[in-house]
Amino acid sequence: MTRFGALLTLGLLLGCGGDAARAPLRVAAAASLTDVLEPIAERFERSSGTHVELRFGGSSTLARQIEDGAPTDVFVSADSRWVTELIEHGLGRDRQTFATNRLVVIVPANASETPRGLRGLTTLEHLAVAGPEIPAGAHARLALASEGMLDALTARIVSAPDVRGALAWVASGEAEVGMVYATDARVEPRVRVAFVIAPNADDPIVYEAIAIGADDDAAAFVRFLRSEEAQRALADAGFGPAP
Amino acid sequence: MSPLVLSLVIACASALIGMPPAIALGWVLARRTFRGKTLLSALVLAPLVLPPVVTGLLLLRLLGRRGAFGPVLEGIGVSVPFTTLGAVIAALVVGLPLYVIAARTAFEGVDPRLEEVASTLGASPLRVLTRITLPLAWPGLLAGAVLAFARALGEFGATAVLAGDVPGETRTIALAVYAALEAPRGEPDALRLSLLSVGLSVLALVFHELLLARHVRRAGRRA
Repeated sequence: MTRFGALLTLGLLLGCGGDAARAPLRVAAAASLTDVLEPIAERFERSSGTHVELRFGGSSTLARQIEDGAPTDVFVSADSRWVTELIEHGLGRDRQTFATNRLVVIVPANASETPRGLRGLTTLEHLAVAGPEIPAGAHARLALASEGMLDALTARIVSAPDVRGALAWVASGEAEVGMVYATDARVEPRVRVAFVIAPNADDPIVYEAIAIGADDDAAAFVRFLRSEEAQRALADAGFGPAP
Repeated sequence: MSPLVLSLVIACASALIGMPPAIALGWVLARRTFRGKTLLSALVLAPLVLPPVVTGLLLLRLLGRRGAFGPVLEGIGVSVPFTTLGAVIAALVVGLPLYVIAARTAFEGVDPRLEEVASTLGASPLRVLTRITLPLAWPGLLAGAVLAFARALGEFGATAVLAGDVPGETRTIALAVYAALEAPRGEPDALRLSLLSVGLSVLALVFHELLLARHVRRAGRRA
């Protein structure tokens, strides 16, 4: 930093004492929540007076950054495994489930046929899903397995590196059918939902938040995600209510 | 196939299949002047600077089932997306610029007077090419093939979009590393694969350097 920059920073720190200088709340959130978290964060800012800095990325990428010491107050994850991982490393507390999602089977919007059940997928050539290590891909494979359809469909599964890749393949017609989250299907006009996969009690699709560190605002933000207004915004975006 | 074997197969295939077009383009760019040469050169080199994801998307729009050439490919029973062939094509297109640059340099290093002498002694253009030009340019051409092979080993973006991440078919080392990093305990796997990747790339590049050094020595002897 230049000397001028250092002086400026010092001046700002001295000049704006008290509440106004409260550090912003740094929230690292799963990229799939980008559109819905921005308005929720704005509402939190209005009600708490704390500025929120949102940073989006893959749950795994963000969790690794947090493990490596990236300054973060709240982690909002689409992948429970990483929440567990951070808590086991003593990095998080106040684990809170605030939303759920569902898997849907999608076809291109102009498809002539609409399969009505998993059994109807065996005649189609390609079923696009996310890779087995990606939460969406793991959930999709478990859903197929619990219906006894995984073996019959394995040869037809094409994996994308992420769920949006699978969505894009169906949207462009490269794959006749795909399995993605309900919230993904809503944002892509070139696909339509053929049917919804019934929730699997053994493998719920949940979104969780944890507070990193001891900041009160962090715990408040995590609680706010379950508030009525946050839940309304999440429902509008197609997410299911917290259990 | 395991990611390692798949990476090697895809890289070898793309280096071999890419050889005829790379040699032809390199020769044309080195030895011919014509309208549109600059444009051709720019088009061939574009995948070097384009984001690989963009290259992948364009390839999908061209070669996908709904792509411009989709019906033709389907007619001859060839499927590009989600297949090993798709991964080979992605690696080939992304590696081609390096290949063509190397071939062009190799041909430019061949003294045109040798070709002229052969010509005046009655050799046909084909004979000049096979007896003079290609043998002299060969180490440089081979070095280009090795460079394209090395680039193919590192390919990720275009492959992910065109061929996806199908274990056993298109999951190369690069895609396997990406997948391993998704899981909380995946880092040891990712690191092991990364070390493998570093080892292979360094080996390929050392081989490339040796070939180039040989090419330079040969050129030096002639001078």
